[in-house]
Amino acid sequence: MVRDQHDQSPVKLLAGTPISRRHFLALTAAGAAAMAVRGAKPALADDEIKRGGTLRGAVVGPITSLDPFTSKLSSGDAITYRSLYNSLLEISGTGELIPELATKWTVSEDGLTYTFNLQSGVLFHDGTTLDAEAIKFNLERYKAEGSSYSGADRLRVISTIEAPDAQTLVITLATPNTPFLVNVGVIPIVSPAAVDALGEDFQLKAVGSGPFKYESWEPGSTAKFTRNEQYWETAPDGQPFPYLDSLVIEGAPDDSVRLLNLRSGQFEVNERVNPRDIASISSDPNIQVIETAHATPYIVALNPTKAPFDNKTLRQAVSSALDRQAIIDNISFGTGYTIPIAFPKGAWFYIDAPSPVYDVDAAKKLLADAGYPDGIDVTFSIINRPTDNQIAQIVKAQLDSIGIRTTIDVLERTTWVDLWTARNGQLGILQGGMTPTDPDSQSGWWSDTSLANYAGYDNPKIRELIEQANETTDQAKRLELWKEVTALNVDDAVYIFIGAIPTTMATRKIVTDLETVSGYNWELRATWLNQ
Amino acid sequence: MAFSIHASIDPAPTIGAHANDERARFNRLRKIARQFRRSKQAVIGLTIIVILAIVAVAAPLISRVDPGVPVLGNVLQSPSWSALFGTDELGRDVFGRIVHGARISLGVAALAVAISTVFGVPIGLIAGYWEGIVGSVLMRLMDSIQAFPAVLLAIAIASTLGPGIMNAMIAIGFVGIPGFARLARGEVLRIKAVDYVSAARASGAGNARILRQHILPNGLAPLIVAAATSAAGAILTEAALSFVGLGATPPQPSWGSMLQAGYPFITLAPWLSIFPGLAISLATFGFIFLGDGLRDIFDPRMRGR
Repeated sequence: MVRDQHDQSPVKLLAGTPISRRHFLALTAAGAAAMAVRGAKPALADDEIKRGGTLRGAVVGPITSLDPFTSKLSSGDAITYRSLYNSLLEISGTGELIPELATKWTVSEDGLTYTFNLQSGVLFHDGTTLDAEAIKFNLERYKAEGSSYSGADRLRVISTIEAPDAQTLVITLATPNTPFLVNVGVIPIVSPAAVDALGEDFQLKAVGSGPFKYESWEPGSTAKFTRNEQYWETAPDGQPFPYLDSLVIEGAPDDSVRLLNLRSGQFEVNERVNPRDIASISSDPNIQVIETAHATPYIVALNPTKAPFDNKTLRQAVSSALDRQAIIDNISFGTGYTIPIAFPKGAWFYIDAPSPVYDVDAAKKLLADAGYPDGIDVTFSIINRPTDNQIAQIVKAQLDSIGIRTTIDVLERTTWVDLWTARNGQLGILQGGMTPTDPDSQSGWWSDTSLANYAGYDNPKIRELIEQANETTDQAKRLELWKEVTALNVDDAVYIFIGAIPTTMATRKIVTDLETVSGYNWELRATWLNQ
Repeated sequence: MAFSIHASIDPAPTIGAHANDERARFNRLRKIARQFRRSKQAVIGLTIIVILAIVAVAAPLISRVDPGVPVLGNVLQSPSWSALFGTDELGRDVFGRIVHGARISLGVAALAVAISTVFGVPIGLIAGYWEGIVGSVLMRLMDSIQAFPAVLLAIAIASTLGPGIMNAMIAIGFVGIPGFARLARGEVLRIKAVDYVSAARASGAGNARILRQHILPNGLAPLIVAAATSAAGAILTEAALSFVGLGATPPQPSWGSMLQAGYPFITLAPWLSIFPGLAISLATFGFIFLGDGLRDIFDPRMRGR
């Protein structure tokens, strides 16, 4: 299969996908944005492409494990897995499903049976074959009872996995689950033989089938990967992808450090640019800025399980007292937007409902109605992060002005997590991550089992709506259900979604054809260095 | 540091009470004041400290803006006449925050040094006077505290107690205890062998009286020098603690926390880091100059150079 992403118009993409109706909707919704991204790049003839070179990438979160099974969900992990492994599908920056190991897939009428036709001739880096059995092994490993895999819960809906032949995989679900295709599609497939052979060491010396293979890595150090000479996807020049000789991934959590090292040429790619720096690097002739489909939402959380914020009217007073636009403008330097729920702009499920109005008088009235005409003192616990700190001081000023007097308590992350997990927080700030994959990826906020529900928000009606949305295949209907969730969430004012800042990455100008997929992961097989 | 200052402070007030005790004390103060004026370092140091102290006390008069309230329409303005040191990422006047921050930074320095001396000096006195088991145990305890790098230990304590200016103060003060204890002990060991102490003991003075009346006053000079110098250290440690988020809680404007908040903007708005940094340097200089000057005055061997 020849993959040239420039040619991958939505129509071509649909040709192999029998469940085209839903995808067609997804594509039309995302189409305009997709074209804009693609069109921004200069079209180069194939013979101009230069092979070779090393791409050094600076990531915010250092790699925690090379095995997705034990990953601590660092951004460096996700970015590395995209180059080290293949998955059934990949999701373009704008939410389109792109075939990868699965050349074709069908879903039965009842939404219970998923049949994948698989690419043949795919070899793991250890020489073993990636076939239906290998994928079955992976899924069973990830979803097993007691699995440490972060997405294990989402795979528990599977009832059986069968591999009738090497190129066919049939998965049967216990209940219809529309997000399943995305959830199962992006799972990295590791080599079963290597898992058996390496055991615990697999997380240090991963074996996948991706365009790059492991060369060296130790926890806390820079990771090196080299070109997979036998990669199964063929480039337009007749030789296999990738174009690059090697890939280096280094963790650098500090925004300023990553930026300085990008400018000095120490790195070719910087995973994330702080919004404050975008203006200054836009004028650098050696740097290009790339908008990703990923965004970081900022959330004010109120603990509804204990006094005083078990009082819904009081929570609504807080909600009305927050000038969301002013907060997001300040922290994003104008690049951010307000949101009623953590869905990114550009996704088919983006909900453009207006955020609750900022109204000081209404807030004061609600405060009095809640039984606090003389105001109230609350503790505002935040994690020690620069943006949280900045938001907290604005929120404090806005709440102080209506009579909710806050004391900011800056805590270490683990201390904060302990405080909120024990439901002893009062008012707090959360950050999230949002990608245009599926609305269900945000379900953790309302889950009664997920650790991500730090406030202990328990609204059975919302969970019921989400379940309903997950069983529905019709996209328009799903969107309607999520709009209901949004309205309930806004009314409850437990998680007050303030706004989101789109994730912007930056690369040296020589980096050509770097796509971002599933939000912000780097698709590097067709990337080359124009030097 | 040289601590043989014994000769410089009149060792006379020993046996029996002087009839003209008051007058002797007055003369001695005049002598110190005269020497003080001759030490340029001491004068410069004291001037800086006094000015900063005035700024701290009069902060609300010097800058009328509330240093904690964001002015979102006015962020990251470069220094100008309306905002001498520019504005920060939340539109607040940096000059006003530094002025108000003087209260926190100097207050922390003063209280942390107070904690160090209040605990450190008595420990040193006891350990020096009763050299046996008591002294050994106390000093080994002090050694074990000093075995840790000071800033690291302060960070450990502050993070255990939780962020906040009060806890930062306790942490900084605690870390300073062994230094004062060792110094005080050294002085006791030196002084208690001197004749006038034996004389006092011979005339029936109790241990407490000997410590209070004879040993402490004569060992005070190096402790004063050390207090000034460690005030400088306390300001730096507070800045370090605030820089890692363990000092002042927002929106309190401590200089260290201003540095921390301003550092990410170093290329975009350098004034956010430069001015708090200068304030920290100035206060540190002030205390160190004062300390060095005082040492020169108290130490006869350094005098006249």
